[in-house]
Order: sequence, then C-alpha cells, then structure tokens
Amino acid sequence: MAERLLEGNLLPNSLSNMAADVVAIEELPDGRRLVVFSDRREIVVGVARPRAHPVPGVDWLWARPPSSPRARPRHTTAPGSRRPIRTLADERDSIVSRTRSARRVTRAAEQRADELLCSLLDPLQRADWDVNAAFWVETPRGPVRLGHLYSLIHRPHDRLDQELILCVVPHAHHELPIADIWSNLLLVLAVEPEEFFRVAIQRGSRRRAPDSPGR
Amino acid sequence: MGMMRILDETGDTTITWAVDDPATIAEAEALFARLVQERKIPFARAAGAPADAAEKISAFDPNVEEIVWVRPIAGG
Repeated sequence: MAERLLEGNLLPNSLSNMAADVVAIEELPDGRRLVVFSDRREIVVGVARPRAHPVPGVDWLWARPPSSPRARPRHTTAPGSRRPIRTLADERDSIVSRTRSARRVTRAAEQRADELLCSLLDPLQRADWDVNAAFWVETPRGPVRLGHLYSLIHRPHDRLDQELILCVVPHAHHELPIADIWSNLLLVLAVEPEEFFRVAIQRGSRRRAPDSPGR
Repeated sequence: MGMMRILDETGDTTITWAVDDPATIAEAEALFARLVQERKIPFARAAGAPADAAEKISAFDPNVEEIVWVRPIAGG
C-alpha cells in the first residue's frame, strides 16, 4: 500500500523523501492516513472529512461552509485601530476541578449525577449531551442551552438575531457534581420556566451566528 | 415502591418507601416536610420520565414513583 500511495503521489513530497522508512500506512476513519516509519515515528497525512451529526436534521454548532480555495485579499487595518484580544479569567469557570478538590466530589458521585441527568433528558437532548456536553431546553420564552456554567445561552423568541448570556445556579452549587447542577436547572426550566427567568442575571448578549441551529 | 432522590455532594441520596408499609411512608412524609422547610423543591415523575414530564408537587404522595429534590436557584 505504501508503494501505491507513493506512486500515486498521495504522500507529501517531504514524506516521499523518507519512503524507504515507511513500514505501514493505515486508513483512518475520517479519511486521513496514518503513516508509520521504521523508527516508530508516526505521521497523519491528508484532510479529515467532515462528520455528519448523529441526530438527523441537526448540524454541528461550529459547522461552517467549506472555505474557498481561491486566495482572498488580506484586509489590513491601521495599527491605531487594532484592539488586542484580552481574555479575562473568571475564577468561577474552574468550578469542576475546584469542586473535585475542595469539596471532594468523588468520581462515583459524578457518575451517579450523570446517570440521573441522562434519565431526565429526552432523546435529542441526550444525543446533544453525549456529543457536546450541553443541551437545549425549550421554554415559552425561547430555548436555553445548559452546558457552560455561568454562561447559559438563551435565544429569545422575540429577538431572532440575538442571544443572551444568563447566569443561574442552584443554592450552594459548589457542593454538587456538575451533572446535578444541570439536573437542578433542567427541572426548574422544564417545569417552572418563569421562576428561572425571574432570578436569571444577564451577563451579556451577542449576535446569533447566521447558521445557528433553529432551537 | 416509591423513591426520593435528594441532590447532594454524593450525586444524590435515595430514600425509599413501600406503599403497603405505613412506617416507611411516615418516615418519607416526615422527610418531605423537613426538606420543604429547607426550601428544597420536589419534582415528581414516573420512574425514568424526562424532565418535561415531571411535575412540581407541594405535598407528599406515596403513590408517586419518584421525587427528585432540587435546590432553589438564584442569579449568579
């Protein structure tokens, strides 16, 4: 197979120069190839094929149209108008590790909480949770996405181009495994959504991506 | 057999009762009253039913299959 790939110029030139060392080439599930050399080095070559979402009719949130193969002009901005990107660390975002160390939430507790959460999810939510560790909850005011603590996405029905970033947590949530926090919020959202929105604090808003899912 | 699941640091603590055992029902009822005083919120559901089929309850019903106790929520 190595010879066939080399004859067909399917390996990059840099690898062709090392053809004598190639001992195996394996096809990967995503369309790329794993090249194994005699000195145990391994290199993956090729371009990964996009994977279809396992749920029919649902796209990946980060799905984008394929980029154009043509070169595009570079848009330059005047140095004075550039703004550096700043990342402001929110220490609360480290809740999972903090919970494990400080509160001694055990792996067994995490697993038990995960089982309860999964039993509360419908099949679509469950598929989303399995893939993205997040899921949408439908409410009369529009769907809410649970999955990122302190940054719950809400897409109001009356603001089709905008999504709000909300923060809602259960009382003493640092004591709970993360899946219990989602079970807590899920039940309130599903059964008493107005109570959820009554206490919610809006941390910000942003434009929805044009190709964002309809939920 | 009914069951209460109270969310806590262990995942949840489970309490069960049997509909034909008044002693276990009395214990479960007393616990229900205590948890209400602690401002925890009870949602009843058929075993394994999704959240949107759950129902908030205000009194203990021994015929309910499962009660999941959650904590009050607040803006963070």
